[in-house]
Amino acid sequence: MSDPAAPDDLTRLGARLDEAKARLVPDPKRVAAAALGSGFRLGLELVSGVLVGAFVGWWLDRWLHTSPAMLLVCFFLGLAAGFLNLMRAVKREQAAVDARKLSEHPQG
Amino acid sequence: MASPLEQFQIHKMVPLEIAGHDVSFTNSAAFMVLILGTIVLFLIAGARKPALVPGRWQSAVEELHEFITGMVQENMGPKGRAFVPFIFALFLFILVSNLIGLFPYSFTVTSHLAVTFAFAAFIFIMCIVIGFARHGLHFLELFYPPGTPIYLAPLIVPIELISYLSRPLTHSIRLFANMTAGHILLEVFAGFIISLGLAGGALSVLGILPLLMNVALYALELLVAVVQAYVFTLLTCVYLNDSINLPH
Repeated sequence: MSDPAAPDDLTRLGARLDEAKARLVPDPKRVAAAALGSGFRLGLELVSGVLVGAFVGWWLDRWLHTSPAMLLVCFFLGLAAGFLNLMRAVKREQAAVDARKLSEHPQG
Repeated sequence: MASPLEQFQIHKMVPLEIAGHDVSFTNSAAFMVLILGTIVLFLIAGARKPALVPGRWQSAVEELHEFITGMVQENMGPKGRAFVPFIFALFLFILVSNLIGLFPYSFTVTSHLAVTFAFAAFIFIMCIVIGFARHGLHFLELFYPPGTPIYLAPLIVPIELISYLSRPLTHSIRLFANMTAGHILLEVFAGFIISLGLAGGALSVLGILPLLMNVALYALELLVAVVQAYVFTLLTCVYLNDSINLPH
């Protein structure tokens, strides 16, 4: 430790380590905000399928006087459609993430 | 103190009625005119003195156009080129209305479901018309992919149909909910600043906290405004792609 440059080198190394760590481990607040956003987006995909299904069922019931058969059937079809929406949205996001990763690390 | 929902109220500026329908010129309509004016000014500024080495404004307009062309090319392929003007106009309108809404005392057009759903419904109907025009009855393969066993049809067709019908709903609610939620949050924290500041003594000093929070929220809202305009147009591209290039 007689070398006066050593502590300076160490702090510089520390700064570089922090920088590298920040690159690998993103800011948790940012991750939380992004997760909240995608959670809301994906939740909406599921809910909209159920809502539209239930609405179609209710409308068919009123038209055909079959209450509540069509509402029940279409509710569950809507649930399936919601999950289909959800799966497609996740696939779309995954494709976007993959494309971004590929452009950042072309060999990996 | 004013309610945080007051900012979303529609006021009639010029009451007008045509054939029993209320078509008054409202503050919402006034802001739409302002948005259009801003866009036209921006584009004119960019195209006024076209140069080989672009200036600031020209560069901004060109970058934007390149960005949209790239997005359309990526999502719709070469057949999508005809839709570049539509997508460009859509993106600019939503982007500028989101950004203008961030100015204090202004009105956010896209924070109304009526506006976003009008866009989404128009795009939905456009998708259906284009799909039938380009592919005729083959467009219906979207709901019954070829190769599906016939006994699965009673299950697949309604599910795909409901999934397709739910598109305008997700499309419009996403933009509307993001803008509305952000603006309510900003207004609520702004209310905290005022009530803490008026409390007097040590509490007044605490008023700096919601102020800092509001500054951070403004940065976030700026991000949300741009990202939501991007997401709305990206989804439009994805939906139009289903009509132009059948997925199978």
